[in-house]
Amino acid sequence: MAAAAAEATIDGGGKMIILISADGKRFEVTEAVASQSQLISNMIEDDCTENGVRLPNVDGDILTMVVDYCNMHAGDAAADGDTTKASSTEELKKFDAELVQALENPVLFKLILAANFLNIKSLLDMTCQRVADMMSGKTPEQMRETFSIENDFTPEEEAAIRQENAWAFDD
Amino acid sequence: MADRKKCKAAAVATTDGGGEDRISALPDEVLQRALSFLPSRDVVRTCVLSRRWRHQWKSVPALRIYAFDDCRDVQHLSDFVTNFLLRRNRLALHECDIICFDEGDGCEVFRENARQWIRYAVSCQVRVLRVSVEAHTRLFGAPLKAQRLKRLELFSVELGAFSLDFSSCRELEELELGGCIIKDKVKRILSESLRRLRIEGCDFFRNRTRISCPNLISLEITDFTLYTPVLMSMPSLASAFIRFGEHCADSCDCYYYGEFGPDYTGCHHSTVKGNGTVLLNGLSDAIQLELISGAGVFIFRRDFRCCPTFNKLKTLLLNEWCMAADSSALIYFLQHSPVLEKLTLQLRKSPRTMVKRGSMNKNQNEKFLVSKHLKLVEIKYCEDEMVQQVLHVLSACGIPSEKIIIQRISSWASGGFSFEQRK
Repeated sequence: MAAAAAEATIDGGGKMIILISADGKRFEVTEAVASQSQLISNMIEDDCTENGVRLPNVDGDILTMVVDYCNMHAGDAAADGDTTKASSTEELKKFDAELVQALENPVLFKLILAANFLNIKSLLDMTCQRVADMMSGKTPEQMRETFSIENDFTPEEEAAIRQENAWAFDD
Repeated sequence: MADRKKCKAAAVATTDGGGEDRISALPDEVLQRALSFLPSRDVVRTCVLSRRWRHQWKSVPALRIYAFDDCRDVQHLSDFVTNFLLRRNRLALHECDIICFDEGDGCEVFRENARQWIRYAVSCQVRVLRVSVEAHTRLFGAPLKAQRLKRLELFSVELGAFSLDFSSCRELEELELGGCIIKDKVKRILSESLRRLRIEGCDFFRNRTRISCPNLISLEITDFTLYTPVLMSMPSLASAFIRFGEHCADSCDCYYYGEFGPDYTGCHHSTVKGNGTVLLNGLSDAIQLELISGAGVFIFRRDFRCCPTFNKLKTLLLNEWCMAADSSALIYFLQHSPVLEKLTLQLRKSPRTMVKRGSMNKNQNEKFLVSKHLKLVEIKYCEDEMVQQVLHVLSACGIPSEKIIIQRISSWASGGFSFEQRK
């Protein structure tokens, strides 16, 4: 099936390749869509995607999101300065905003790891920005609570670190 | 593989969403990337979260200095940044933001500090530099030598002599200037590598600054005051948007009324020296053009005398200025755009003197072929009188009525121009 799919083409999309998630789910995408992943793009260049690309550290539910994202964003790399795509830019913004808003712990962090592994810069930036937004304006205590970070300093150690960096804690 | 099992086990244990500390489990590089979106002050404060976080802030590839109302004074801000830069690992910076809206009385001190921070960022091979200040601070004395700089954004900065010479920034692709004062001594904006240039609401004091960026693909110059800059050749230009500001110096009533011939020199349009064009030669390779102007601005009409042609132009948007003085600008574009596909006319209000139809006769006699590729003329208008004249011109040029779509706009808020609709 993979071999047949590798031969198949769709209108303007070029060759198809198969991505296989950790739990064995298969996703058929065009090379153009998959190439947003620098990792897969390199594999395509090396001509080693014929039997499908196994992604042993990305689960099917996360890969579904990644593929949706890449399908939506296919072509914006090529658009480069082309302002005639104004309406689709608007749609993209809406899609991204909805995707990112819906992301919660733990899916957010799984998606970050997937974007990092697959090397999809725009998705990694977007998800990292979401983490930053969740931290923004919070005290260290609030940050610990938001992300379930365990404070493994003794009270004396913590006080010493605050003292050492007093220049950043002085208001 | 072991990692994956651990990861899956963790996922099962926390399907309800909470409990597990996943952020601390991110690889250092990813954690630092997430932190790079935060203001530097917040970044340092993560050092007390846990041992894992103790030194992360030192390797974050961004410097983000924000001072708003909570900035007690310039000295306080300066102390923070000094400590931050002293203790940070001297790694490459992806981004540097210096955003200060309340410099208070310490303007001189702030200026010196900001210059130093910019020097630091440049020495750390900064890729994106964003500087926004309140009081038109002059920050750049000499040409910027930032070899890795890719994007530069300057807001409310005063720019003198060589500050817009980017010949040493060989990787610079995007430049945005907002609300800046571009002083008399700025002879040119110079960059070989620049791809996108956006200049919004700036004052051009020089008569005239040249924009010499031959590899631009996208250009926006909007709402500027004083002297229109001169555009040099840009063969790769895909789209350009020019909108004159209300206080542009290149405007006078003799053009507004259309009563004088092109040789009339009794007004200050003689401020344009030399034989070349100001804008239109530079724009002549554009594929998409939007030219919004007051009817009194004489730059375009003066440029027409040099007979520029628009051999690649496919999409053109004009407002009512093209109807002033015999509709000559509209006719000029129709005559000199051989592959034009779509023309949009946004006619908000009539120029004060509409030319009588009788005066069209002279132009009608000069027969010419409109682009064979013209598929659509879209007219958005407020006043009936105006649309009658446009239709008359279009029909005289042989454009069949089935290619023309007319739409009356009842209330024309500032969102009338296509670029504004996009945002």
